[in-house]
This record gives sequence, C-alpha cells and structure tokens, in this order.
Amino acid sequence: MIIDAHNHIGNRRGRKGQSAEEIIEKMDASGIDQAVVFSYVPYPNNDYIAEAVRKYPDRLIGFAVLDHTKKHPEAELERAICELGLKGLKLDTPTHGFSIDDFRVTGPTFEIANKYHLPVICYCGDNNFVHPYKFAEAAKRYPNINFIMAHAGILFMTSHAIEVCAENKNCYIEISNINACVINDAKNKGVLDHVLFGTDTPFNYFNVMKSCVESALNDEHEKAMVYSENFKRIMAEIQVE
Amino acid sequence: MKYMDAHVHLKNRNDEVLDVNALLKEMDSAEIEKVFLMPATSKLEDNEMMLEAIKGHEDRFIPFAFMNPYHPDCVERFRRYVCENGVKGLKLHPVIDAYPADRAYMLDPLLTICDEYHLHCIMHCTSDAPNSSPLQAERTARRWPKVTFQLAHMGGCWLADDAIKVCLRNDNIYLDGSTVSLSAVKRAVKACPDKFLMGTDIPFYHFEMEKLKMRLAADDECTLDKIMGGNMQALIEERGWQI
Repeated sequence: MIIDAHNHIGNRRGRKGQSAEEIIEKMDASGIDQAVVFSYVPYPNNDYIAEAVRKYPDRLIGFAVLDHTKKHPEAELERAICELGLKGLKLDTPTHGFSIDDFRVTGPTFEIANKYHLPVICYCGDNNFVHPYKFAEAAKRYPNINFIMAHAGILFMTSHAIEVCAENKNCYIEISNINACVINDAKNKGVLDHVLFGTDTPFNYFNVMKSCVESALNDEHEKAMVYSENFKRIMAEIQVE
Repeated sequence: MKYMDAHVHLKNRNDEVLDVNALLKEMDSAEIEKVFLMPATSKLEDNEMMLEAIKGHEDRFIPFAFMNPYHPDCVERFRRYVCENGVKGLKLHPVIDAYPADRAYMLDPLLTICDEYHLHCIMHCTSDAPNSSPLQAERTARRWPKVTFQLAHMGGCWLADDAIKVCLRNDNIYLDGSTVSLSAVKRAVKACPDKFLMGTDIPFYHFEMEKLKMRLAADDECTLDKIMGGNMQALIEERGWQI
C-alpha cells in the first residue's frame, strides 16, 4: 500500500491548479492508494478539500490550510476538524512570514492541534523560519502533535531534520523532492520509522519519488514503513470526539 | 577612556585605510579603551598580518584568531596563535566559510583548545543562511559549557528572539548587537542586561553609531555602563585573562 503525504489540489488564482479528478487519475497510473491533499498554501479553501474527500473517501485524506492574517485562524482549524472532517494541518510559515515556533502566532492553532493529537505538516527547507531545530522547539511544547517536516529540510538541513527525528518521537520527515540518500541517512540513524512517503504533486511526479524509495531500500518491510505504515500510525493517534 | 567594543575587524573601510594607527585614532576619538580584534577573513595572511601589526598595543587590542575549520592545519595554527601570540579567542564564520554552526566533528578540535585555555568564541550568527542560526549555535555552546560564546549579530535580522532565548537559557552565551535593529537590541538588553556586549563591526559601521544605539537601547545609566564596557570587563575577568 502507498499513502502519499503531500499534495496540493484546488485553485491557484490565475494559474493552473490540480483538481481532485486529476490527482486520482495520476494516482491510478502510478499505483498510489491514498493521498493527503490540501490547498495551495496562499489560497486556503478547506471546504473544497472537504468536498473532494467526500467524493473520494477511500482515496483522499484532507488537511486544512489556515489564513494566519485573520484574527483567529484557530477557529477555522476547529471548524475544519470538527465540521468538515479534515484530519490535519498544513503550514508553510515562510509564505506567511513567521517561524513555526513563533507561538504568539502559532500557539492558539497548536493548542487545538495538540488537543486533537493532529498531524501538522509544515514546509521545512533551507529557510530559517523553519529550521528543523525550530520544529523541535514546537514538538517539545506540543507533545501530542505529530510534526511532519515536509521536504525533510532540503537541501542543507536534512541531517538536522534526521537528528530532530532521533530526539523527538513526535517528529517526522516527509520525503518529497529530496535526494534519495536522505532515506539511507535516516535508516543509518535508526529513524526509518519516522520517514513518510510524499511527492508534492503537482510539482513532482509520483514515479519520481517512488524511484527514490526503490533506489534507497531493498527490504520490502522497510519500504512498507515508508510507503504507508509510518503514516498509518500517525493517523491512528488522532483523537477527535 | 570609558568604553569597550566586542566586535572589531582589522580591515579597510572600502578605500579608506584602517590600519592599526587609523583604528587607534578612531578608538581614541570614541573613547574606546579596548576591543576584541579579529582579522578580516580566515585567511592565513590576514591572521598573521593582524598579529604582527598589533605588537606593542596589547593594552588596546584583545586578539582573536579567525579560523576556518576546513583548513587542514587550522588546529595546529590556532594552538600556536594562542600559545605564542597572546590570542584570547576564536572567531568562527559559518556563513562565509560555509559550514553548519553545530557541526561537531569540524568545530570540536578547535573548541578543545578554547576549553583548555579558557578562551572566548565569537561566532557569526545571522538569519540569512541555514548555517548560522542561534539554535544551531546553542548546540555547540552546550557541548562546551566552559567556553564562552558570543553570538555576533544575535541572529539578525529575523532570529533575534531565538538569540535572546538561547542567551537566557545558557550561562555561557553572550550577545552582541552589531548590525542589528534598535528594536531587537532593546529587547536583548532588557532580557539579558549582564550578557549583552556593545559591538560595532568595524569597518562596516562607526563606533559613534553603535554608541548611539546603546544610549537609545538602555533604560538607565547602570545598564548603559554594563553594555558599553562593564560586561566585557566582567567577561575578561571571568576568563582570567591577564591584560
């Protein structure tokens, strides 16, 4: 089974986006069973995501994106989880101009995510707003959130991201767009159980990221961890009444 | 002479020559008694030139060696500078010399010497590159608790609050506010009045600019005295340097 933890669908305001039907077609062509989907980060539309999940409940898992320019973005997260049935939060704090551990901004949102034991996936690549050590600060303060470092800290922070996974059981790396050797590095550091398969469609191709896993790993059990087992564990921890 | 400055390079200001004599003139004019002095770069010739040029001025210049951990002979040279040239500290620049500020296997051989000789480490710390953030510098400082670390530019411009956070939670971390906004320096001085050091980053700025920033940042005379020299004097005494 393959679950892809990082995909965007919806409107890109003037540029070509990716629809639910388009991603399903790509998933069928590449043998991807399920995909986590969320809006393009500057253009959140959680109702659209919820509608897509309603249409394809066995294939799509929806995460919310919030507008942090609004006064109470956490209210939208509460609505997305409790009314729309979405399962997690996608952040891209550099796009919104704050650090993941700037708790004046992220605190109210993370309180809710912590309450529901949600996964929170956030862009993590060569940008000091989202250095892996800042994920660690957040992970320590919100131990019930599973923080997912999207892109595993490419290009030059991947070793830090792996170190943070070794030090914090609630930190994960998601591999979209990485060099395949990051998978080997994670395995050598004993944190293959913190690695999540992801592609970041429509910016990349499912087969490209599959070839990273196939090149890095030989053992079918190890591949299964990355392809789906690790992500299923995160989903099983969610607690929404 | 009333003040001390924790961040000075021996380097020309564009076309304006700032050799030791010109630098001493600027220090005298600004009433700066002593400075932590560093070469312009980690190149061998810049280090050797500085150490030669400051002979006879040990009462004004506290020399730091600017070392690049990639250089194969850096450990041996640093030890020689400490033992034979009166060097009191290590300058590291993870951005220009391109290594992560927390890369233990590269930095530990140099920091072993700092630990052995009770030295001070000035580490460039800004937000413009993934190499040099305050949280990374903290990891190095925690590995070497008996070495004192000065986060030069205190994580400016976007990570100043991280620099303040790590200064508060680690006894051996100091901050200098060179190149940093008044707003961030005010927050740092308020949070860490005993571990903030005035630093100008000569030649890129002028002593009078930094002194003005200190006067605007401090809420009272006592704090002003600390940040304009008292803290640096206390650090020199704590390190046990005979200067």
